[in-house]
Amino acid sequence: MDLSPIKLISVPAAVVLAAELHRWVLLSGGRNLRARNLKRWDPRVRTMMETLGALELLGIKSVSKCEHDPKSQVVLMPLESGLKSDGPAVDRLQNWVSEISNIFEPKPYVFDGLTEAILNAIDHAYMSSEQRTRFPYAGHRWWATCSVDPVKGSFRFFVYDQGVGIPATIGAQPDWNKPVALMMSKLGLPPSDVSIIEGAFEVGRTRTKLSQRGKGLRQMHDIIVKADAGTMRILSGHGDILLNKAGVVEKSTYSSHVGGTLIEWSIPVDAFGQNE
Amino acid sequence: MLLDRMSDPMKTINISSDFTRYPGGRYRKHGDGSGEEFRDDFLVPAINNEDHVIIEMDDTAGYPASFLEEAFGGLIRAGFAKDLLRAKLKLMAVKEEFTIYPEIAWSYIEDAANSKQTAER
Repeated sequence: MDLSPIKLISVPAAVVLAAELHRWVLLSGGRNLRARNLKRWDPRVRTMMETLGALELLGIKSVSKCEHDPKSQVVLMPLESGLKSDGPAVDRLQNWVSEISNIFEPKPYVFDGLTEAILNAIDHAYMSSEQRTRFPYAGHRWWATCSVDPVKGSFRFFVYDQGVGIPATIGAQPDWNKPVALMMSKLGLPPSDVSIIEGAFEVGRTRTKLSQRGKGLRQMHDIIVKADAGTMRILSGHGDILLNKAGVVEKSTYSSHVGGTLIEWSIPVDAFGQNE
Repeated sequence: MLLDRMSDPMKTINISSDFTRYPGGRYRKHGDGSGEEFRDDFLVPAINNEDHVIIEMDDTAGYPASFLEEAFGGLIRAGFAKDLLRAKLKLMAVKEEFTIYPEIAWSYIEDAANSKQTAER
């Protein structure tokens, strides 16, 4: 694998790439990919992939320190992954942000939202075994990490799965199909992946009587509602929506499928004030 | 003390210290600390054997909706009547960030009871 042409990689893109490398290693029986032109990789790309644990998956144990000013670097936690709900892993994410930021303290509502995102990946994201997929799954797997950006003064949580995407799973669930379709009609949304994602989250955000999945979606959104700050991004299928505590603020449609669902919560550090 | 206990059998379950600090998913297949596990291994025996059951909800990492609904809403699906649960079960949280959870758990019990009633008509 040669990443030397890449001069800049975003954290979410690095998360997706690292997860794909992990899937390769799991499905190939532990065979490592080879890194090519490693010395030509941009130091920021190299550092980010190393921190996520992706270089170790390539059989590379350590690399030279990044030449850039560490104060300007986004600090990233190694990728967590699993096939089941993992409370200690979610706790590690919060504790890591707490230690790095020195302001944030772990919150029950953050634990709830991250755990529900993981459960959504385990329970809903992947097709049943009877349905064929183009690329084999590494189980009903989730990946998660977090980052702190000292320049922007914010931290982010990420949960990712390699499933079929929220639009496809909503379509396959009769108890979701109808309320989401009604919401889309009410909001005047055209049929598209982004509209289905928006419809699903509006159902979760606004309805009082919710199915179990709706309760989970609401808890995911509640991370920014209860923090009273920040945004939540859902990149799923061909759709991409950005929400604040009040609802959707931006949306985009892409010609390519993202290859699963990536959920990102971005919260300013000062939203949580000082430690008690 | 034995006579006191015989006259008013009561059990207190602290979820964080007696069960798990990390409430998880809905079913055992989802991993450790599931709502199903807490309901079947802790709640049901206590409700069946005691006159009063106090559930202390402070100090866990949190309570995913999947856990709460299966643990508490699942009591209705397991055959317990809402009125019986109201009489026997007390859900408590003292710390501010946990005080919402007893209310949420009771709402899941109510919803499950309403759904059961609707299905039986």
